[in-house]
Amino acid sequence: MSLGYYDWLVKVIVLGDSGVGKTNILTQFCDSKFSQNYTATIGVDFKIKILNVQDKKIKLQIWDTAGQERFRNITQTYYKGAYGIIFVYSLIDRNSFNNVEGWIKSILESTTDEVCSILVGNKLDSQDRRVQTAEGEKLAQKYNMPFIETSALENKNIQDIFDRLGQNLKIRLENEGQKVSNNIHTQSGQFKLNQEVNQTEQPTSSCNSC
Amino acid sequence: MKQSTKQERRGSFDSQLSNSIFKSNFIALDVKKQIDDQIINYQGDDEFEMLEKQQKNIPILLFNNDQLIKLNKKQNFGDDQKLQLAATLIQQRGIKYLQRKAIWMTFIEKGDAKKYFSKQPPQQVEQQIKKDINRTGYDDKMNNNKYINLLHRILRAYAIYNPKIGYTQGMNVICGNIILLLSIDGNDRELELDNFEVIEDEEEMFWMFVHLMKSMEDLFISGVPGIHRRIKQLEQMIQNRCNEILLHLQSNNIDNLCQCFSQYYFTMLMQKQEKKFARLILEMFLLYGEAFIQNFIVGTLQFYQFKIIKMNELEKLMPFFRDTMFSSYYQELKKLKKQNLIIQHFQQNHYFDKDPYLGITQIESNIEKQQKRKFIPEKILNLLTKNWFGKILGQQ
Repeated sequence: MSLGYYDWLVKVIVLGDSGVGKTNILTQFCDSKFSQNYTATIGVDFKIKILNVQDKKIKLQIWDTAGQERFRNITQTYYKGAYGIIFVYSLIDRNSFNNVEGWIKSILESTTDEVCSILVGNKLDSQDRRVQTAEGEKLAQKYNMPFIETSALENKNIQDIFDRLGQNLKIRLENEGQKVSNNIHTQSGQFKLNQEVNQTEQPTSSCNSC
Repeated sequence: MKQSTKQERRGSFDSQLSNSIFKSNFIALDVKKQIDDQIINYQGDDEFEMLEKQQKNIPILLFNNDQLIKLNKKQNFGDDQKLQLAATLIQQRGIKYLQRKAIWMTFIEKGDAKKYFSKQPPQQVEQQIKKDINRTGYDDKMNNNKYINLLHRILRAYAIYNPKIGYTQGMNVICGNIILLLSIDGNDRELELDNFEVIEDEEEMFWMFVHLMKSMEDLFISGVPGIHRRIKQLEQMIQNRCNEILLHLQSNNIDNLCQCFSQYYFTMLMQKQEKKFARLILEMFLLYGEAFIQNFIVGTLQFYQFKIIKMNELEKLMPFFRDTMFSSYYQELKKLKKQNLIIQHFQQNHYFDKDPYLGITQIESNIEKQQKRKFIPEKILNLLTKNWFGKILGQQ
């Protein structure tokens, strides 16, 4: 019966350069699959997964974005209402690491909300590493977020991304809950949380970018 | 020996073709009679309504093989001919592959493409293309080396041809489908049977791609500004024609239609679709341009309106829009084709319109046009006498 039950519904977006493995991380996490024969994400992809964090269930609504830089204009329209952000680069693609800071800044510029972020270096399975662990750690420290190296191919540390993100989300949501002082645990009021937060933080929210 | 079997094959093909033409004309005549009856019944009713009805359901005669061959030399098509050609391409079974392709190519301006194929694009463009050529495929054919090599070469050549665009994701899907549709390999069974090694005409594919990209330049240049105009227009169309969908999406926290629909434009609806669906899109695009894309999206949404409104969660809505909607709509279209109703369906949904059909406002302006047309003295006289007689008869 409790299959569809959850305590919070949270919007998470995945950002990073094209080809770093964003979609593969998500299919591994949500569907326990890795597909060698995948297609490039165009527009946006969407996945759902319920995450257990201690005694709470967080329903993650994950938006998977197109990585090419020129789509950023559209990608930014998904930022609104996001609680969690996963920044991904590829350990074998130096450029994708250099560009991560650009992605982080684009978030800092466009949203004043406090978001829970995590930095992910993917493709740990490959022998041809171009970005050292210490570099990733340093960058994560600079922006005060957790850091993890993963392999979507070998399903290594994928669950950890979401566990660590989930813990931070839970802390934040509980604080939020105390602030707004209301309990949301109905299935029907699916979007209540986001809406209420939007209302309290930005009374006249309008999205005129599209 | 070989000659004779070939002839036989051709013979059977021709008879098949004429048979299907006969069949469709026959049915068309039948429908026409029905419509004539309808018009008679409508005479007492509102004249405008009659005109509307009449316009929509006039049966379209399909081209036969000889007519199609003559078309190959033609450059410009009138509206009626376009409609006739569209109907033929959609409804006619058994048009030979090379015949079809020759018709497509009448729309294409070709030039010398060698200079584009011989240069290297900037490194950044090359890198992005390389990332995507291996992950474009959906059809099995897309994953062999010949195909990937063609895709690579044509995308590169295009980046040289139009450095303002270079390469944007989505172009790989469109270009990939062009390659699938224009390559002899996999389409022309006769040549395959002869077991020749086929050398594909990459320049032909290139110019076809150039042609399609022409009207979509603002969609693919850096920053993809053209998407906003298209989404805005789409929103307007949905609002006028099936506003419930818009309200439903809003109540699901989607206030920006980019989130659900932007990929349709960047891939010309061809992502993860079967080849014949892509062929349909290509043919209609050649005839009606981007208006077809808009009308087709809205028509499809309208078709599934009730289903969409019942989906109360984003996790159902998003995969439906992304993966299932068009493929299941295509199955419906196939059924309509079998029943010889597909042309009618296309007309009713404005898929053959020159412009995106906005809904109510456009009907009003049409009526205005009709009214203007009507103020020709002769017509007024006609109408008056008709009405008077009607009244007199009615009174009696």
